Amino acid sequence: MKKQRVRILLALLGAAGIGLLLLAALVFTAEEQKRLSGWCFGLGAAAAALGWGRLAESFLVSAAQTEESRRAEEIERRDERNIRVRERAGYMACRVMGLLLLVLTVILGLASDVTAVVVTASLILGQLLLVIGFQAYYYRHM
Amino acid sequence: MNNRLEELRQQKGIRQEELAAALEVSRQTISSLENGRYNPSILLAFKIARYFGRSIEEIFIYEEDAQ
Repeated sequence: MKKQRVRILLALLGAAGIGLLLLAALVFTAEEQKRLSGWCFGLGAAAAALGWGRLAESFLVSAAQTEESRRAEEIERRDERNIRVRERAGYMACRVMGLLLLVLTVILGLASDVTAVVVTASLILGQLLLVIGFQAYYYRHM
Repeated sequence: MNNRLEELRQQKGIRQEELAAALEVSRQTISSLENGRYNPSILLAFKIARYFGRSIEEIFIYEEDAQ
């Protein structure tokens, strides 16, 4: 049942992606709407690829999977060492990305691109807020 | 943390894959445990102890004791 629900969500995501692509190609065609059209193309392509791709994968994988391989996959997913590895990898990636964003903000600031500086600075702030938020949550719940 | 996991596994005559399947962890986890690169959670330590019919202290050697 859960698998059915996931497939429906993926199909909806794929459909939304197609919808955005059509919007970008057919509706936002004016010169003033160039940026909006670009956003729609980008998001639409990502949503369509993700939605339809994962949907196709869910059908292919379930046809090929045996009970044993499903069990092995479940063990790998719940394995405590694998969980710790994923958590540590995520933490390190977050730290590196934070530094890279900081460097990017400085470079963009030197290039005097105010919009880009605001966007990257917002990303850094967003990341910081997420870290603080998650830390507060896990302090309380662990 | 040092441990006698490899020794006990070999005494029982089972492979890492079989032990991993019995404990519902990956084979890499068993390998890392035996090499001392990874320390198990208390839950996994209990499962291992129960599987071999020993106490946790008989299998896992706390570093102060090892010294």
